Amino acid sequence: MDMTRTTGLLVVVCLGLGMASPVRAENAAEPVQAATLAEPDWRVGNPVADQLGGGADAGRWSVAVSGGWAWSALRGQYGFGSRLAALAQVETALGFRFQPAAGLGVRLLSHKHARIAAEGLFGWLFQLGELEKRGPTLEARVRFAFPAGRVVPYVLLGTRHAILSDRTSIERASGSTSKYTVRHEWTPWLGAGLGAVITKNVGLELGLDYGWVDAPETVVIPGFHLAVLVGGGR
Amino acid sequence: MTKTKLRGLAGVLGALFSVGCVNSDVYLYEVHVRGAVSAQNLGSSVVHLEFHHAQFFGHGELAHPLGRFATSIPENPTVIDETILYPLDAGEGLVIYGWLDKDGDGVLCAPTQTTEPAGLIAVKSFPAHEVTFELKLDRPCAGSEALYP
Repeated sequence: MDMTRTTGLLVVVCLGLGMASPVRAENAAEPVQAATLAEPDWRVGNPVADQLGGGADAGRWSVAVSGGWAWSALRGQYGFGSRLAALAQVETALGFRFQPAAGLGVRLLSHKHARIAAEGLFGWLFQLGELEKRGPTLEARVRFAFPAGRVVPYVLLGTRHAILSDRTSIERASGSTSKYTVRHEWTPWLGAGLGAVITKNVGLELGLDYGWVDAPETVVIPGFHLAVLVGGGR
Repeated sequence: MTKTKLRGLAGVLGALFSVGCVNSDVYLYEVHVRGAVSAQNLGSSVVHLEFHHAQFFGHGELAHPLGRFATSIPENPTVIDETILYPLDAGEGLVIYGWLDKDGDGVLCAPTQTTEPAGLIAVKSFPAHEVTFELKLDRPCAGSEALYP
């Protein structure tokens, strides 16, 4: 083998190795990256786990923007302490019923495949239109999430209470008097759905809503929503 | 803080409470109604009285006549002395309608009962906290909508 042929063979081999090396490197990196996405550490938290399972680690924040029928919402939470989260949300039903609220969430269980949290919120109800309503609201809810791979099935049970006051003024010959009376509007809530991790800081969620407004006087109108979940922080 | 400022603050808080909290805001006008009902063979039969707005809702040619807001069964129909609460925001005027329940079934007339008399009167002296009326029941089986306007 003369020097020319030897040099040429070496160049071909080196070029081959040089081209092959990055491919091998990418192939070698893929299983690591795939493993990271396929098995998120649910205990560390990400927006999907935090929003659907409730609670958040200290310094972690997440926001959910959901749109659907009949309910749409903007929700945010920020973790502090060991298991607590500050909550804020604005919810609307078809632009006729608005309910801003703020509160506190506490993570009761944080397991690799199960997460349970309790939340309490204080807010205000504004319902427009023919059946105008307004007044303070209290809400309590429990979230159950079951992370598996990159998806998070969840169930939400809630109870909402609105205090609605009415005023009756009576004009008598002797003068006028006003009397306030209070009504109670109860809205039990059942939600269920499925969230999916897209990246470490972004997720999607599709859910069903069974909010029974003014139960038991009315009927349940089921709904659905699609949400984008983003988050970050420590 | 002076008393004036405290009153101002209380007024502002009251206004906010009214705007943010009060749902149904009902204004009622108390009316003391005195009068008598007359009918042939009144006897001890029960008289049913209904108090209506003369105009319930709508305006002009689209105005809807009559809107019942109170009912009563007076113990003694020949000497009526009642106090009613008139919803101010729901309509205008005051109309009193009555009928004689001869068979005591609580229903105005029936295929086998075609002689129960009814009558209606628009109270001219309303609005006032004290009104008087004389109601004559002389139209068999007539509903209020058949007698007014």
